Amino acid sequence: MRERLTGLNWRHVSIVARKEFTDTLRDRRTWLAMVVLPLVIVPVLLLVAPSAIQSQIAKVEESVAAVAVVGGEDAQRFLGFLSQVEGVSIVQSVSPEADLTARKIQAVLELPAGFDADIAAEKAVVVEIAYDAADQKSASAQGRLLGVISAYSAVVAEARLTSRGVDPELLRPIAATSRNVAPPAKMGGVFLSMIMPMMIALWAVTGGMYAAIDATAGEKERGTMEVLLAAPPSRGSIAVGKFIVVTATSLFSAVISVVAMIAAFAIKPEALAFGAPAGSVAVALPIGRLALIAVASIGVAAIFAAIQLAVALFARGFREAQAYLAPLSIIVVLPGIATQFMPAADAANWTFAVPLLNAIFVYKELLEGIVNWTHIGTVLVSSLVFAYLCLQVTVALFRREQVVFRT
Amino acid sequence: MIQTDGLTKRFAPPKRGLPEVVAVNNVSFEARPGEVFGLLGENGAGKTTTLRLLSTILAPTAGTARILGYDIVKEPEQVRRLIGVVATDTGLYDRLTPRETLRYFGELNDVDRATIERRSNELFAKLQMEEYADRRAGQLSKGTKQKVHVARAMISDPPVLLLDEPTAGLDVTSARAVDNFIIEAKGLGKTILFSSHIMSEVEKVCDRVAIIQHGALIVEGTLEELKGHKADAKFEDVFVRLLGEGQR
Repeated sequence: MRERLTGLNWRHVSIVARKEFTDTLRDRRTWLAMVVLPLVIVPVLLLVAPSAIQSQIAKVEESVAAVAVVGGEDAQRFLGFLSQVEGVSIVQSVSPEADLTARKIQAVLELPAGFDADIAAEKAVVVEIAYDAADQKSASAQGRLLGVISAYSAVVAEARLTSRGVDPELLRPIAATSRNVAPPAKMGGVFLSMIMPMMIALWAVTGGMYAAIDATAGEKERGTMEVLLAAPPSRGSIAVGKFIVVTATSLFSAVISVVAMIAAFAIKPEALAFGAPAGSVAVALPIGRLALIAVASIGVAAIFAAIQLAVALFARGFREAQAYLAPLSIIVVLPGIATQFMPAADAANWTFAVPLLNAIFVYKELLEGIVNWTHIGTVLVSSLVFAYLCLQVTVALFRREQVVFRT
Repeated sequence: MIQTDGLTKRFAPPKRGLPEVVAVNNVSFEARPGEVFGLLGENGAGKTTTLRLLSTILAPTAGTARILGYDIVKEPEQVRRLIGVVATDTGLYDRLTPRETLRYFGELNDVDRATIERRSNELFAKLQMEEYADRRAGQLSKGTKQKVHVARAMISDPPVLLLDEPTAGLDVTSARAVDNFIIEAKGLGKTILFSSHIMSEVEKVCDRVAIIQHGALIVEGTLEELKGHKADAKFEDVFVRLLGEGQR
């Protein structure tokens, strides 16, 4: 009575798959998870969130930092210089430290006695900036004050050299300028390779989750499992039929997320790279490489479909299955985060044998403009082997009375 | 023809330290073509487990059964081709219509499209549910849903029907439609195993019955025989008396 994946009845597989397609496509939750969520969340995550952060940073940078000066009586020349600086305003404070803690001011600048005189006497002078690193505005004020002091130091140093008849340019024997040879499209590819792999993994899991639960724990909860198992098809044929539909749903969701990502960045390429000058980053992925990303995703979707079917089949009902599967959407983004800043060229050979990890590096290669057929083939073969093993577990679970009647 | 031979099912204990549960204990009976064989017993007596063993979704711990000569342990796939099952507490795919449900199960039973279409229409007419045939199951009443179950079990025209309390929770009209349907199926020569604990219904549809108590078969015979050939005896009283004797 052992039923394995060999000796499948493909007619039965296709009947089960067709029914599951109809059923799942009529389920609003599947559409929500598969299409609506990636179409809404991806642009929000990629465009709205970074631009909110950027506008927050801009707000801090545009604000004027209130700075209290302690012991500035002998530093009129320096204070004169400071008062000319934009974005810094010198304010009076009776208890500067308390005002700083209370965030009434953003920094306290402590100048030693005889500041101007010591400078004139060419002595080394130490000033102290007190700031609150837990406050963004205060941290920004500290940066600005460091800049002011450095600029004033340069002015003083130049004056000293000039007074000795030395050209200050002697201190700058080499001047360097930089030129970025990476075309905007390549820049876009590199930045995309940091984000896209984890997004694909996330949506491959989320997109197929409802379909997987509905086809297993859902059948148990509705009480349809019993009559299905009393029908002629083997449990292997039933499992494979369901697996095909969940894989397709996962894959479709991953593709939608890629499309949403590319559309979002095509609208606003600067959002890809923080602080990159406008025009230096562009998204331009040829359709061929996009298709290869989808092909590599078949393996990823198949793995997640098989895992989700096995886990959800074990659950008593919909809610229990959701509770078991929810952590999966966090776990799957971890390899993406761990390799986020790692170019594909740095990937060790063994990583191409590890499911999901190998797909991440193939995505990175494709986004960086590299098409390595061996790597793409390895991803497909290893993922499908892994998915096959997971499917065997699902079929074995389908045969276990304790699992099928665990309601 | 259904022949069970020492059919036994033991389940692992629900908790460690407790004894294992004997749900079906050495049950042997024979149900013949053109006969409705009633499997009677109180809740938890082992009726549903017996029917699940016969439909091959549970495997027996000991003993076996043959359906039209096919062994449920050795040839489960052949057995599943011969049976139509209406199980207690089963549901329908809410997003499919009755017609689509019948098509699904017809195809799973390798019935061709044209036959499925013809039989579906016949079944909907017979069960007086044509107007609901193309509505999604989620919108149907309990009675109509149960009729869909009966129609689904019949779509492959199986020679053997395993019916586990097919009228449970139905109103009088729906229950009567289902009962009449069972009687008609009997006339077509089908072997029907019918579990119930509603004695009036048993009297109406069953030819022979077996009473199960704590998993074991305590008595088997025609209704006449069990009534002791007293035509005016109420079968419900007979049932209660036999259960009492079984207890001793």
